[in-house]
Amino acid sequence: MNQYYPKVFLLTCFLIFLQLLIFDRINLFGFMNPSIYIIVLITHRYDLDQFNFIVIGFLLGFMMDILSQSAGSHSLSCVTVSFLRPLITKFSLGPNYDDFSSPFSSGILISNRILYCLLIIIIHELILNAYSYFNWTHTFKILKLTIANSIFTFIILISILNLFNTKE
Amino acid sequence: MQWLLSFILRYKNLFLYFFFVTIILSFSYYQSEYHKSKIFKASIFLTGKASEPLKNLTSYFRLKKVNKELKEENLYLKSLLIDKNQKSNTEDKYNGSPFSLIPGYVIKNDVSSSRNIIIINKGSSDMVEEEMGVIGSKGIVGIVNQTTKKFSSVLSILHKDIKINAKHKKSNAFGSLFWEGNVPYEVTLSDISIINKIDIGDTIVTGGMSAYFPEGIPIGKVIEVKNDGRYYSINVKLINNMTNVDNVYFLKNKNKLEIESLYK
Repeated sequence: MNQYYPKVFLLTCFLIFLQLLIFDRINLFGFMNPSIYIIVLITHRYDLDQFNFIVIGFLLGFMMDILSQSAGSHSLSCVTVSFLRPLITKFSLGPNYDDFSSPFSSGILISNRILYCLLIIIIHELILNAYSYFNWTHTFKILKLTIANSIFTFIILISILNLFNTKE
Repeated sequence: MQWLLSFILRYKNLFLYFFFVTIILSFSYYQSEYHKSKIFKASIFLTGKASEPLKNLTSYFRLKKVNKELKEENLYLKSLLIDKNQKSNTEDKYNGSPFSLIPGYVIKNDVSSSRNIIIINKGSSDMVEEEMGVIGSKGIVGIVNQTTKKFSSVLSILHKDIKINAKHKKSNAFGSLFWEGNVPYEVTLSDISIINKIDIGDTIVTGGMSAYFPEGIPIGKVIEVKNDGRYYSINVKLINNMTNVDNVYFLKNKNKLEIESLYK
């Protein structure tokens, strides 16, 4: 347990580094960039205190905001996802999700994992884009960006997570 | 205290979330001009919505004070109006009107008899004297008959024994205004010569020939004109509703004694 949070910190720094140097510069079709740093939020263990998880979510988003000079959209989306994660988990993995320590524990159906990842990605992208534009007149653009970036992020995340998946 | 602590501990995640959201909003406020203006607009909207019912509630409790302030303002405006009338009708453009106003409130009013009297909550201690003119918000009300220390009785315009100098505003023709004792909204103006042209709807105002009222205070509108060969007898509908008079003003004429001394 004592070694878990330093690991999370290192993973966070590494993912932010990757995000800023590589994934924020992809600009597929001129506007699509995946948000891979939310791997921290997706892979975080269930059996730990949610209070700490919200703090991690805030620090992750805040670091992204500072380094990418955005106006708080990353922080708000990460904090909201970390706050809502118990609900998302309960919805996608069922009420007995406490039996598992992480979303990639053995025994969780692949469809449930996909639903879980998709929900987190969509909520994150929706809040990120909505707060960036912060205007009702851009609703269509926000929805377009959310759908496109969610699909792109999902594909990249599944690839990365399968690549580094270690079975418990 | 224990209860509060357990409540905070129970919803600590929710509190933490809102705490971070607040930090993020303030961060956005300083980081981006666009978000700053949007947050500012939203805060103005929310403040407006929240303060509106509160303002309505507090304004209800402030009505008494507001009423008092409005009365004072009304008094000031009335005196300005009288002053203006005086200046426009005389050559003397530098001296103001000799009339000053004392506000009062009707505590008893009667319109049912032929000699109606109004009691007002201002008396000799408030500088109210006998034979002062009394006006309401829209027109004349009557003349002070008697005063005590705190109260005064006023002969209403609806009193059979009272006669007021009035004039036809358009032609400046003078006459005498009195109540015949019929309905409380109608008085009669007599002694106006038939050489003047009087139409229905014309305005009748005070004449200014007495020491009670200054010139030009509205009394009513002409509703019927009768001609007896030499003089008109004009029925005038009062502008001031005498059945619900509440706020009134006593007219104190500074030159009254001087004028009266000439009659002796």
